[in-house]
Amino acid sequence: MTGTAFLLRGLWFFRRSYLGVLAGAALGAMVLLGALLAGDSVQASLRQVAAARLGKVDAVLVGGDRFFRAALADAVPQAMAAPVLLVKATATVQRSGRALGGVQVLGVDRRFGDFAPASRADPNAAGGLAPHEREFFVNDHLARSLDLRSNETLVLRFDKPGVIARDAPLAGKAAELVALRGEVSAICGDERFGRFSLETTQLPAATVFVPLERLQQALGMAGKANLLLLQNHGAADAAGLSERIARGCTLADYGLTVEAVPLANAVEIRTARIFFDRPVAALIQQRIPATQPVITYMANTIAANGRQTPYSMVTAVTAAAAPFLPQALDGVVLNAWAADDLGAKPGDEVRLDYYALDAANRLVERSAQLPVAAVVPLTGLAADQRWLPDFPGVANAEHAADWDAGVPIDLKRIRAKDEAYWDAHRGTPKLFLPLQRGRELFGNRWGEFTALRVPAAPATPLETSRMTVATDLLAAMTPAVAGLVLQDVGAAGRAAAASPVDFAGLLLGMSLFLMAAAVALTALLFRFHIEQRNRESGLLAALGIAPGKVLRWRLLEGLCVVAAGSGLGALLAVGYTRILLGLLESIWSGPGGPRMFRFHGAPATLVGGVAGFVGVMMLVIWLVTRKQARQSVSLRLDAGTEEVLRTAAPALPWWALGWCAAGGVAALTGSGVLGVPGAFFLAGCLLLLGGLAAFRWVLRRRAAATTTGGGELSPRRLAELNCGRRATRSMVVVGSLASAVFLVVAVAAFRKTGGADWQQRGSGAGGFAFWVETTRALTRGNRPQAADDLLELGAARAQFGRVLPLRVGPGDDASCFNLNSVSRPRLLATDTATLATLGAFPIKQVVAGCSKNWNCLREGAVMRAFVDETTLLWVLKKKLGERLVYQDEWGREFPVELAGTLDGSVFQGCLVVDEARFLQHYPGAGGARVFLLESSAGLAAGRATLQQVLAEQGATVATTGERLAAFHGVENTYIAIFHLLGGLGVLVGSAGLGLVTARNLQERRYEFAILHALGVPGAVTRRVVLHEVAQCLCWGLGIGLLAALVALMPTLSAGAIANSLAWIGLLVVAIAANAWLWSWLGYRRHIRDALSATREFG
Amino acid sequence: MAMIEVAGLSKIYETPGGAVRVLEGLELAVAAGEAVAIVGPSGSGKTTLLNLLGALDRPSGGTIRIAGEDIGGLSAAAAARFRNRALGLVFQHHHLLPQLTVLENVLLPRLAGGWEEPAVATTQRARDLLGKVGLDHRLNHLPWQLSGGEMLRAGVARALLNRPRLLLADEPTGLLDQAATAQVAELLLQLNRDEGVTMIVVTHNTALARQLGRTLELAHGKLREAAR
Repeated sequence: MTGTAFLLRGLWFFRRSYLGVLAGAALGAMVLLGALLAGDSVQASLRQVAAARLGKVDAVLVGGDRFFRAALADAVPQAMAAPVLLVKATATVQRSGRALGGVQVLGVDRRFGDFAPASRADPNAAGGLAPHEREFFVNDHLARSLDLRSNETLVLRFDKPGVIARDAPLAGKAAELVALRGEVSAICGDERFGRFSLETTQLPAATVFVPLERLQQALGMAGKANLLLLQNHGAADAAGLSERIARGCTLADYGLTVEAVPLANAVEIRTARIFFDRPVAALIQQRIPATQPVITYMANTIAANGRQTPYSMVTAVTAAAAPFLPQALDGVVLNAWAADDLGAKPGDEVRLDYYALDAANRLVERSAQLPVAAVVPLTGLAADQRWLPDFPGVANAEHAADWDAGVPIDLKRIRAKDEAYWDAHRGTPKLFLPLQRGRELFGNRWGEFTALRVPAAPATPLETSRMTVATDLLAAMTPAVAGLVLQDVGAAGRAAAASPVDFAGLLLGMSLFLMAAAVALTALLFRFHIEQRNRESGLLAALGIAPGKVLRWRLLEGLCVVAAGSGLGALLAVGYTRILLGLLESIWSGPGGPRMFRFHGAPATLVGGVAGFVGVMMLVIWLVTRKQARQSVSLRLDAGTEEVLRTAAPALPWWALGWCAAGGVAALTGSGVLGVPGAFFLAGCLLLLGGLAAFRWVLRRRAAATTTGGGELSPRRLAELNCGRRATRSMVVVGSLASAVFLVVAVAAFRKTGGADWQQRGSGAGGFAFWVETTRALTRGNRPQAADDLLELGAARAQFGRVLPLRVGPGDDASCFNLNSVSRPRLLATDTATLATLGAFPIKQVVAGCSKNWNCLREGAVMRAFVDETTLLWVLKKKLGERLVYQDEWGREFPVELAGTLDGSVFQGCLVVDEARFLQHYPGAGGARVFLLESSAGLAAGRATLQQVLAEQGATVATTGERLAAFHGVENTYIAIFHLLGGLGVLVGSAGLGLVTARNLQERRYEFAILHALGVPGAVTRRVVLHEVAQCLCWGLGIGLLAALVALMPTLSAGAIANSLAWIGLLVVAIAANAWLWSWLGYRRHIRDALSATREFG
Repeated sequence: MAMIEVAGLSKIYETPGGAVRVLEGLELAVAAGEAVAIVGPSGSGKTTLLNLLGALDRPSGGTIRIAGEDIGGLSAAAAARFRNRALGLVFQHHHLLPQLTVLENVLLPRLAGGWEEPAVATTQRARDLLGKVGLDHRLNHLPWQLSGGEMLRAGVARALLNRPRLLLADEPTGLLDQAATAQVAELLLQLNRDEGVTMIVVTHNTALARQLGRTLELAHGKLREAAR
């Protein structure tokens, strides 16, 4: 007989005994592989979504509110490009009236179809991806959301973009709403690029595809686009692509024009944005040092000598650019018309009233007193109408009374002579002032200069100079300087999908206890089995078979069983993974929606997972088996299964107390170094170890008491001694139970509730009742008084208290709803001074040197942000004080310091920053799109009012409680999964208790038989057994509960723990009952045999 | 030539109650081909002595030489090799593996490997041995299908597979009835007689002890010749 045959014979003969080992291995492998496969599946699904979302797009040129020529797409060498016009709209189904805000409207032509996902694109359908004429295509997400079908009419409402942000002074009339109607002729799935979106999220964006030309017309942006899709055929680096885009650009793409100004014998550079972006102005001044800046602004009033001239243009310029001005001008120069109107002469004081934005971004009227330095005739350059920039609503007005300047104008003040002046001289400035003074008075966040003039070269035709300047300018400009930002979305999207939230790690973490319990139970069963075959091992050794060889055979048998169990576990893991994915799916997909996660089993994961598990299992089996192999042959021949406890009087368990003390310290202080979860688990582990060490000490003390003859023999005493007889078994059972209780209780305490206390300033809702998001960015327009009613609630405004507007900056949703890896969460900018005054939201922690309130965000050299603790810990995985890098409006990088955390707030997934600082980096940012509202009416009534009034804004209205509940729902789903796995772990752990009970009874049946023979009643025997079980149970529950509560103390408030006490109590009772049940089953299984052994004994 | 030379042998067990001296300064010399019975009261250390002679356990002091080889200091692997090549062990409990047939149980020592004899020859010898102990009709039976005497005889056959120079038997008839005891005793005597196997038999059975050439009594950790 060969060793192999011997091994196989053993496997077959002891198959029943090995069944438990097989089951334990299958369970452990299933859980491990389930976690890994679920991670794989999520990752693969996200990669699939990223591929569907971006198709063949490598990079995009994003204009946002800056528009470039659609023809630029044809001018970029070595790259496939498609122009897109992107706006946000509210979509309404004409038939049902159902509406959805925040819909992505894409103006596309046939070139868009060329970017459809490579693997799915139907080459013949490429042209069909672009709608024609009055057709709309919608994606299936929008169709599902609105219950929209083909051939139905859809109405889109969106803002007509201005040349500049609507809240800029002199930005022209308030937002103009455009409606576009079309028939839905196709519903696009992923294969038709319906998933296209630039947002790094797995959630689909509701999208409508509109013919590019039609959207251009509707927006008044003929031939324009604000997004360019690019596939990089040439150099892979972004710099190379950027350079090639620049080569295709004209000045029109940068919004610049170069015109001759004959009266000044100069060339004037103008920007379509009225005010030159500072980087553009700086670049031009650097490239063309002779540049002479000009600022023309509107004064509400020029007053002197008790007289007033209303609504006049004034120009700040150097004498070099306006030779009619005195050199070293100190004061103002009036033209003859204004001097006459005011009766002013040199030496008089004039008062200049003008609009400006205050720190809170409100339009306020300011005044400046300036002396009159001179009066110039209204002739020549002083009478040149070209000083006036193309102020929207002003420059082309027929009459002064027709002005729609974007600032409040009292038309009653406009006199006949003012109209006459407008008719004759249009916007010719009535007053000139020094450039520097103009910068001080009229500079705003959008820029300072309204024109940049370059003197013509001597003896050079003006046209030649104009062309030279234009050429120079074009060579100097880059898309980035003009605010056209090139984004490497392909790589970024794929990277975000490739390294999303580590679900494998997360689920592994959640399953750790269950796996540990399965491994421990399997090892225990294997050990039982080895003990059962002690005599065999002893015999083999006695017959001269080397102990190492016997051990190897045992391990090989173990390997066969564990490998078979793991194989079975791998099969079961497929089903188990689907269950896990289903649980995860419930977080993100509504009922009836398409499945987000698809099962994906990578062979490497399966093989690696099985091999890893088998490796760990074999290591544990080796650890528990080698001790047996070390026993002397004679002892094993005697079939000894007793453990030999060292019986020296045990020292005081200082080291056990040390573990506990270290655990306490870790709990109290560790969170600063390790983070909250790290400190919690470290403290928990140390406390569990300390508890188990104490238990071990108690067992040893009892064993020592036996040898010194201590203690009267009673069922209880006998039970105590029995627990110590097989200390390792008792330790495994108590350890499993304690770990299970620790995890289940701790996780239960982390269950999130909240939202009900929204009225409290210190709550996650900050005392605000509603969270409103509008499709349109809302500005005060030309209504300074509207600052308190940006939402234009009108009469309904009284129902709501304070309204806190928030600007939405760049970045991605980093809340728990987004599975992708987000490195730059969306910025939310608001008036932090107001929040500081209110003391709103629970600020949990701030960086050193920062005041623990909202004022912190206005301190320090770099932009600071508060972030929700959940986002910081789980999404960003950063610590306070670390910095994230953002790109400003011109693509320049700047740091944002994570200065503080908010505890469970409505701001999860965002960074909250101060509005003033935000606007320094994003001056072009439009108005607010998020609003927090207090409510003085009921929630239901308030919501109804808001939904009714804000329908036009495409607003979504949610109570802050609902928002918090949604976040908590995600976290609680994770906790539910944790509980599910923890619960299985408890089952396994308590099954271990049952097995140990059964095994002990089986091994000690002769003892019980002796007791029986000696006339000891069965009830006493039962009490012995039940005492044993109760001891393990009490120690397990006690250690676990204590460790959990101590580890939780610093993390959760006493109130939170108190709130969870009922739930924790219920769990502990359930665990105890379950463990008791298993023990009872084990007891039932063997007690009869044990008592009937009397006959055998006899 | 002496097969067994034991000098100053001691064995001390550390127990919860303190050190227990089982053997102390034990001396023993057994010539090749001799059959020795060791008797003594329970707990006198007979099995301990047998374990030490069989290299199943290590002595606390003294030397044990078997066929001139000091086995007291052998490593576990070397001791196993020694048992596999030179010793035959017969136990009170049959110690047959329940998963193996009678023939396979007899062949068990071959699992140690390194036997020069071809497997076919060993198997044939196992059959012969089983025939010799009267179990040739039980070759493919499982242990539970055997009676107590048959199991013990199978154990004897297994002990002889390696043609041992020394056979150690621990209470071989302790669990057997009178008839089976007689059978086993006859078998052991025949082996000693015919094969010249040196034999140490620990027994309470005075009849068996008398049939063996020499009887030693173990008491207070030492051996002395017993009256026959």
